[in-house]
Amino acid sequence: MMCNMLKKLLPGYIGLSLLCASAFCQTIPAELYKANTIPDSLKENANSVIRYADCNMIVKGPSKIKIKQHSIVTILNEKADREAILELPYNKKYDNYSSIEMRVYNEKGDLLKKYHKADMYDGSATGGENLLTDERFLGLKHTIASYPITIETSYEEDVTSAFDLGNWDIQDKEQAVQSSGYTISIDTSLGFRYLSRNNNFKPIKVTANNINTYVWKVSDLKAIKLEEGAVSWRVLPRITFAANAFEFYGTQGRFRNWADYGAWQKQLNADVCSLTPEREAEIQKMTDTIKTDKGKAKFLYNYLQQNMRYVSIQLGIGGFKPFPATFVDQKKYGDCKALSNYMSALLKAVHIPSYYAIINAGTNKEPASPTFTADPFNHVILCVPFKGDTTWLECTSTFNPFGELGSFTENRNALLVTDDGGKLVHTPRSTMQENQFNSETRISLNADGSAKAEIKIRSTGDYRFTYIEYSSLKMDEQKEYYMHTLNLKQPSAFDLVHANDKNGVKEIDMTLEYNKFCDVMAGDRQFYRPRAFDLCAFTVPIEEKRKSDYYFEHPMQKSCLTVIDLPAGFEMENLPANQKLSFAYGTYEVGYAYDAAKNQVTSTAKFNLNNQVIPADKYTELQQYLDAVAKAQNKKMVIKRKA
Amino acid sequence: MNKFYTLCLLSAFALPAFAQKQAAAPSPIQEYGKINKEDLELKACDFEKDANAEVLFDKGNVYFNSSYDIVFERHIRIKIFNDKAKEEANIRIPYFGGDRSEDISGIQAETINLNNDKIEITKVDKKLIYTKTIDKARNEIVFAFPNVQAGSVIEYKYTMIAQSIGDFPDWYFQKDLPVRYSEFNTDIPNMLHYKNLLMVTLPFVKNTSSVMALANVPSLREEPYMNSKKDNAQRILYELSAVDGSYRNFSSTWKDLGEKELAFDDFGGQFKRKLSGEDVILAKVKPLHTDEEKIALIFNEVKTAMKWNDDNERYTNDGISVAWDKKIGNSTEVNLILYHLLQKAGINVTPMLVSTRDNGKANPAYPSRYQFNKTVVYFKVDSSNYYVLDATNKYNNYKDIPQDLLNSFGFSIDKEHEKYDLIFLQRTLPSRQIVLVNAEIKPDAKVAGSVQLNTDSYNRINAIERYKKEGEKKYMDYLRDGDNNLKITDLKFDNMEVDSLPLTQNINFTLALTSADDNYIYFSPTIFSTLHTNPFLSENRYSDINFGYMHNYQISGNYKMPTGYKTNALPPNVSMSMPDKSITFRRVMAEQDGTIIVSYSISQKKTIYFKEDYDNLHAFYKKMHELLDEQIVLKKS
Repeated sequence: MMCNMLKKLLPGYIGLSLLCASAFCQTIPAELYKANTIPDSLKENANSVIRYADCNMIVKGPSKIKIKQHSIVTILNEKADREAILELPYNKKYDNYSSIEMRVYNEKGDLLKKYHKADMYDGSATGGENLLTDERFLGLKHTIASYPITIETSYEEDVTSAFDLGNWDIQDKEQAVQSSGYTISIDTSLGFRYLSRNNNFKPIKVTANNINTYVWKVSDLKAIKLEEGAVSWRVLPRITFAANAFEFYGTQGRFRNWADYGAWQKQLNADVCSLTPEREAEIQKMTDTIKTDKGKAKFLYNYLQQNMRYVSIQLGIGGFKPFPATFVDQKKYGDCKALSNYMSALLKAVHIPSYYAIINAGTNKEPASPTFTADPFNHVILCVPFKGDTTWLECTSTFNPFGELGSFTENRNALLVTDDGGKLVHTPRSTMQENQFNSETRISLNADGSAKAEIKIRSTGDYRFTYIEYSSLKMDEQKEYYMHTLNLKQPSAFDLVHANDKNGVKEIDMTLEYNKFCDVMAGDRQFYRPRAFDLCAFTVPIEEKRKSDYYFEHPMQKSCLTVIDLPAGFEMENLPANQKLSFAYGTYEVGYAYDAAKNQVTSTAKFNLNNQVIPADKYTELQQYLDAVAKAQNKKMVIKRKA
Repeated sequence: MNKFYTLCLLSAFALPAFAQKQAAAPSPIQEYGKINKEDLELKACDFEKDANAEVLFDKGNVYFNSSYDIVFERHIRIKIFNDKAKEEANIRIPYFGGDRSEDISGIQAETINLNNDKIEITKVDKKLIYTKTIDKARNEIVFAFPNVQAGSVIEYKYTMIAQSIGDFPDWYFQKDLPVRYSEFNTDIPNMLHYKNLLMVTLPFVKNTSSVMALANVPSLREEPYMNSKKDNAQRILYELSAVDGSYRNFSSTWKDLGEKELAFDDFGGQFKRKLSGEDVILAKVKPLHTDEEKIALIFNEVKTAMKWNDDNERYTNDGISVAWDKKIGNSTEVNLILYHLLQKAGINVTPMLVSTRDNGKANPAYPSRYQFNKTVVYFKVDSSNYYVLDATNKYNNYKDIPQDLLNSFGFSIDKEHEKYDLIFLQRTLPSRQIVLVNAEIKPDAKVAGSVQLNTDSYNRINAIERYKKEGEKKYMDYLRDGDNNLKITDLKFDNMEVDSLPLTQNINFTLALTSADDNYIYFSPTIFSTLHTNPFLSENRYSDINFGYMHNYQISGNYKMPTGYKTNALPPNVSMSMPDKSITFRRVMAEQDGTIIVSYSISQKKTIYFKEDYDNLHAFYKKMHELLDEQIVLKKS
């Protein structure tokens, strides 16, 4: 949804670096350092080519990990400049890097430059919306003088704190792979697991001396271009690794299943999840006249929204342990963990059970796998299990209605932290009825082509969230935003009012005056776009062979009722035809009626999209449907002076 | 742009000295912890109603302690009007603490609320004020205010000690939030001399040698065609110029500065450094006859050979010999290499210090190297023409002054003739874009035809840059404005590689006119004009408008009408101009032998408008876009 919703994210999980490959012990064919030996098929759509990569991970005990990585990447153009950056995240206590080297080769494979650990920048990894974390990084950047260029990196890492064993992102978008491999050797007692996404690569497994060794080798993978509206986690190949036991920031845990993960978090929260008895008594008093538990919960959620604010300060156990409920109670701020934990403590004070719920937030982000326990999360919300009416609370928002999540966390798996350990539960998917944009517009036309338009917009769900976010802009900026997004004609006077925002429905009132609303005037005739704005102001590009699904941010239900008063002395000559359009996941309808007695046109338009994910094989249908909607919206009304 | 304007510009810099009218005294600064109830009850900023928060006051005191450290005491108080501004209560104070050259102490912070008519103060717990190590040089004080509600006032103060007398704090009266009152006090020992770069256009409330204050300073915003935010911020900067008895950096004149630059090893000291293999290039130049040919060749050699490392600096880092060997360097290295080769080829060029648009306009009344952030090469063709050469951008050519240097001053350092000149860099000719359409409208409301798109100078550079960076498909999407009804069936470029010629794009297209119905066909003859959005939609303007260069558009079209149709509405011929005639717009339409002939032209004669001119510009652009949007209507006969 909104860019600044991202503020709620936890700091990136630090531990294992992603681009993994072993050291210089093997002899690498000299061809792999030369740019001209890349097969043409691998250059297609590619900005860079992984020539060789090898990552060797040895896991001796829970989170006793040694990694040796080695990679050679040829950068073909400036779009892949980030491949000349080595960024190694770390925590002072739990990560140690050694033998770091970066070597740079020219087109012919001649060595140009060598970098070592001493050349690296050591900086804080806190930035953007995060005010404070413990995480740091080592960074190195080679500035490229000409392309193609080949970068070889290698390093060793000792890790003593980790949750899962990280991901192998086999290729980035627009990156081809000539050859790459991953080797994991792990003590048989640790229970190694892996999950493949968007690939079928199988490892070779060897067992010796109580060590299981898995070896993956891949070669000649063509570059993948992400299509418009596609999400990368559905497209790019990746393998996630995990063991059944871990050690994280000095705490031990088992990791066989989601129940284990939840139990670990439960124990982390145990000493911070209660208010003082005095405050509990006060909370009880505040709510004692409210009869139902749901009423109490709603009251307390509003209390939280009005009094507490979101601040991203993430310290303690790698940012996994919430600040105490008593801290939030006093200071009146906290991050997503602290606020969710505090909300849970408020509910506990009035004997309403609730579950801390860990989730991967962000519009259309990848849901956690029910069958593979790892740590794909970045956010925490709260789940209140009323009987037959499970309610979800976003505790970092000051404006989400009670029980409404929105596209930031809806329709995916959340890990509930319960007394019996963790339970993976699906969050509700919002329907099109929950994301409504409804408008009533009245346009009064004058004989000289000028007009006045009054637009009332009532929005719910993600539309409401968006309009609330935009309301923090300067008034001039807001007006420009509406002119662009609704395709309003530039008015000569524009009054914008944020009216009621009640019960999850936000109302915006606009009054626009036009000295020229008419598109064309020709003698006794006037031609008009018979509306003030476009209900659906977007199309998608034509694509010959769509490969991946198209993602909207949410399903939607939009409507517009427009009443147009014709100028005195004019009558209708031509109204656009009524239309009904549809495709597999949506409908568009528009109807016009002219009332000669009132000299008034009433039109109704409806645009519905009942699914936010459009399968690839329905993409062309979507594109043609949206083009047809645009065409229908392009039709004109013609009026003429009465004889 | 003309001489008169340049004079105006010069006098504008002197304006603050005359503009010291006394504004009505607002309730200015209060002691830490003391507050008027009215401020807690305040509902909105008086002079900026849509602000979500307001700085009530911001006060800085600078003085020197007995060991000549600079002591900077700061006290700031902010009003939070609503939920949307609660993030203002998260504070970061960055400083150079790694080598203790700066240190921050005495931090106090508190939230003040009005609770049932009672003033309630919540202090920030000292334990919750964190010192974060960003890297080995930088630190940051970080904290969040507790108990922040809509209506809260937050305030904090601290003392920063800087060990170097050169590290004098700059003071920004203007910020992203509106500021009700901002005051800066200085107490400088007689033996230290600082030069001020003052950029204040609002009336001072106080202005003496030791205190300056402004009131009701609006928030700073980003606007289309504005100069840098830096240029627009009300501010004062300090530069150490002399210490009695020992240190002297004071450049009283441009000549003085020029001589210092020449003596500086990382600037003047580089001019004669040898470049490996330079003889090969110089040999290529030898047979050429004109300066222009030689410049073109050397410019392209350097542009191709050297990669700019994205750093703008006013001095060399590795030096030009090393940079040349590495084939990479900062902007001064790249362009001093260019200077060196041109000079060796016998061309009468000078190095020129310039300031990019982001870095802010250079002020000719202030001889200081710190205003500049890069070096280019200056060549005087004749009394009225010159080249400004910058080989750091692959898309620049030798003839067009780089866009981000336009309408600012460059400082030319001519060692040989001992001439040190400030030159206002401007382009007197417009950049043209000519669209020639030849098309036929079919009775089924489909159009097929061809377009020739001619662009020169900046429009040419921008088109090539877009094409090369984004690739053909995205470039065509841009030309089509993402319209699925408009299809480009063929696109060919002429003269893409010849800098001195206009770029020609030959396009074949088809277009479906989707608003057509049983009786009418509508169409807009402004396709491929790239004039679809009006940049001046905003009702208000807070900064001057700088177009950089003048734009000149021409659209000419011949549309063969479909059989069985007649024109029903042909937009009338129009000619209009700005009140000062600086922009004119003309539209001519005619029908002849079944063909509609259209012509639009927009010509600009001025590149800079003061914000006071905005109403005229706003109205002109609105009207112009209305006229551009007017369609031709054909009716079935």
